Amino acid sequence: MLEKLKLKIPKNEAKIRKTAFDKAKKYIEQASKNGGLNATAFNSFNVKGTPRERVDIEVRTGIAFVPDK
Amino acid sequence: MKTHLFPNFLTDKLEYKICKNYWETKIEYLLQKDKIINPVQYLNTQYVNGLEQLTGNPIVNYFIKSKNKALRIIQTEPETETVEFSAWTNKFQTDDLDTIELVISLELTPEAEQVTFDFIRKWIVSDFSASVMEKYIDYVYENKKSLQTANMT
Repeated sequence: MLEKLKLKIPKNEAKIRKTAFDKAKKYIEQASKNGGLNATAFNSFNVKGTPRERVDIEVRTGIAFVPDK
Repeated sequence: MKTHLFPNFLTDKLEYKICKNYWETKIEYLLQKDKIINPVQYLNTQYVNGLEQLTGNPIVNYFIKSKNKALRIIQTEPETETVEFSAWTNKFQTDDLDTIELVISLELTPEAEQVTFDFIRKWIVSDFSASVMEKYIDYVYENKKSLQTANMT
């Protein structure tokens, strides 16, 4: 999912957000290990040293990141 | 060199709990002092299996009904030697809630904490609109360098 998102944004924007994407990926993996994440959950991974560049995860309804059976 | 408060909060569960309590006590005192009552948590911070996330993302979150505003504080791991923070406003819409949140992401140092509480006061107590808040955040961020050397004890 994150990989698809990376491909949708300009390369330089993805590059700036590399550490934020890495942290978001780690967070999703951790959530998955613990059964997933119920709504409503908002998480943001900012790029340090920048005013607003970030990656947001927003679970607005249902359950996200449910592990594969 | 900047002094980080609760530097091991992500690896030490007790330190995390104390750190979270530190935020709650200070923010709830600030709100109470200005007679802003009943702040409630609006975000889920547990995994499906019931475990608390303990990621600092967010460390605390509040919705204040009387202002129809929300506040989300993200505390990140100590990684830099500078005053590290960023902030933004975000339209928050779900089936149950339609509000605007102020999001502040920071490494917890005394300087970043001072900026954070200044932002909280402007957002909740002074009731800045989202557009004014954004301009204020930009202004503070542009002057961030002065925080690096200032004595802010």
